[in-house]
Amino acid sequence: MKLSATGLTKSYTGHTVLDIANASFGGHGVEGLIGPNGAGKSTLLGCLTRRIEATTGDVCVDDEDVSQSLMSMQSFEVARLGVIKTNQRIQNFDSLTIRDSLRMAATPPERQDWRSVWRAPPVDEELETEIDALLSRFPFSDPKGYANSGGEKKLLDILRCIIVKPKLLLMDEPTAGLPDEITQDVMKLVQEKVDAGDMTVVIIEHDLDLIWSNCSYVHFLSEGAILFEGTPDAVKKNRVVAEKYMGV
Amino acid sequence: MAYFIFSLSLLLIYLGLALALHVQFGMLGVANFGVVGFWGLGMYAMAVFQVQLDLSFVDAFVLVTVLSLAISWLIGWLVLRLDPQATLCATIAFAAIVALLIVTEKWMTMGVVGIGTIRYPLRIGDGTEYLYFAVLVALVVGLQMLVLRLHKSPTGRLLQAIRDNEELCASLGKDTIRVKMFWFVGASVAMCLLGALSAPLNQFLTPNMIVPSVTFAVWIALVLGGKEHALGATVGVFVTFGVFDILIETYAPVSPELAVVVPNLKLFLYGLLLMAVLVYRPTGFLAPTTPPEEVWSRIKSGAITSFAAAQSGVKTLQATVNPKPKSSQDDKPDTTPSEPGDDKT
Ligand SMILES: Nc1ncnc2c1ncn2[C@@H]1O[C@H](COP(=O)(O)OP(=O)(O)OP(=O)(O)O)[C@@H](O)[C@H]1O
Ligand SMILES: [Mg+2]
Repeated sequence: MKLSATGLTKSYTGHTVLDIANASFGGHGVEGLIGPNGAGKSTLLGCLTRRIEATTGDVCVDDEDVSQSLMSMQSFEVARLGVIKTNQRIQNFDSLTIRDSLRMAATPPERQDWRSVWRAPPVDEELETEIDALLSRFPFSDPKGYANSGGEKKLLDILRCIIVKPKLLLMDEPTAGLPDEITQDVMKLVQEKVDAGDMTVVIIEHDLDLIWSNCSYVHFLSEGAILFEGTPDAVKKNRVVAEKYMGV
Repeated sequence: MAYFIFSLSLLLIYLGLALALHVQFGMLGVANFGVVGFWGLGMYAMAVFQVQLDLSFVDAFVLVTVLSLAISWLIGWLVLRLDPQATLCATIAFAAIVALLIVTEKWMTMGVVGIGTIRYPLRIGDGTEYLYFAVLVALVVGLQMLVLRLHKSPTGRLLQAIRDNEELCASLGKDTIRVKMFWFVGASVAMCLLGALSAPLNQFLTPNMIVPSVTFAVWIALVLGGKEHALGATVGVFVTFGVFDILIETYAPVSPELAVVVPNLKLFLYGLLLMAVLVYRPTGFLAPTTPPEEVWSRIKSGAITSFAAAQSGVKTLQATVNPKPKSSQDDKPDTTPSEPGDDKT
């Protein structure tokens, strides 16, 4: 699944923080999106998922020869198409246990409406097995209870996105707040899903080693515009990128 | 005895209202401060349809259902997209509008003169009130069971998720507005229909029944009992309305000069109790995480606290109204309405 943005801009009180002439995301397995703080990376992903209303421009989704504009959709409709984003800042459902949180996210709407109150649906064995597998792979301090630390909430946020089986997963700084070995496990899981052809991924990261070792394509964003994009090697060698970002 | 059944029936109505509010606020996070608006709308609509249009109970009830569905849907559509404070103000405004229209639209509601008589359905002679009471019991037990099942169902988890973080929920593909609309409207219609069922209980309606203290009583009961617990509404109504109104007003001998101040005293004590509970147990008597085996002891301690508060309130008041000339600050004036042994609680 691929998203194409054309003439996409976002301004806050007249100040333009995002101005993408033409770019597409999700066509290369795992892609990186890098750039200095305040470059507009999170704003871009927000506009792509319709959580942030773009000022002008269009975003189109291409999936198996069908192409449609996202601009008339609400954020939940974009999510139902399979475009799901993890969050840079910690977001959580504090009154749901880890398991309930994952169940809630993965249960399709028709099994979650008012009828489920009266005729309790049979336990979804497949989903429970999937949750078991995830929880044995990613140990929580209290797997039957709640996500306790910030790190656990961040991890749960990512797992929740993965368990809804996205076609395009957008990850906003997944390593921030996570221990190194968990980050590596997360990236391994993501890579497996990408290799299996289940999804494509766009990752925002300041940890460049993670970008170089996981991504096959990288977008460089600075002051709201994409200044360069290409393979990791090409980006590493690029002068503009070096000056604006890595040269510091 | 008739008065006792009336009180118990009213308690059931409040219980229904608190359960509906639990769904709206406890589960969905929508602060509806217009409870009396929905209840009053249903009650007055029932009276107008029956008295002015001379419709039968059943016909009037069907019409009230249709009307309350339309109005609840409109209110939901207006308030659910707003931020929480705005929702709160908008629902208060709705209740105020309902109360005002009842006074001003005399051609329909008879204004301050009042409207009646609304007769019971299912009239079987002497037992009518008891039969009606049994119907109310069945209804409220049904509502409580619905809430208990809702808590265990996938829908319940979805509602809690929306309350916790609506935007995150939407980003996972959940149509949060639609879900909120469905349950908000459903619970509001329930409040209207509880109003419709209150009409025969009161028989004669006057605008001074449509006052904010109804809303407060329901809110206080829910928050006291535990707004997020499936049994919180029920426990809350029993420890407030049950203990105060039924035990004190009905069984504790209150002297005639006190009877007039009891309703005010009641609200005052509810408020005091609410503050104490919010300070010492912010989640209410039943926290969302209270383990099932502890529920009963929490309920007992809740009832005792509430009874003690009510008792000491009445005592203090009695002492103020009838100060004993000989000893100035005696804790036990002989007019005290007391039950044996309750001094130790
Ligand atoms: N709601 C808002 N109102 C005004 N300005 C905003 C708002 N949200 C973001 N901005 C501005 O837009 C610019 C881009 O922000 P954004 O969060 O997209 O940056 P980023 O590239 O994700 O940075 P970081 O790497 O620090 O996460 C910043 O200058 C920020 O101050
Ligand atoms: Mg960011």
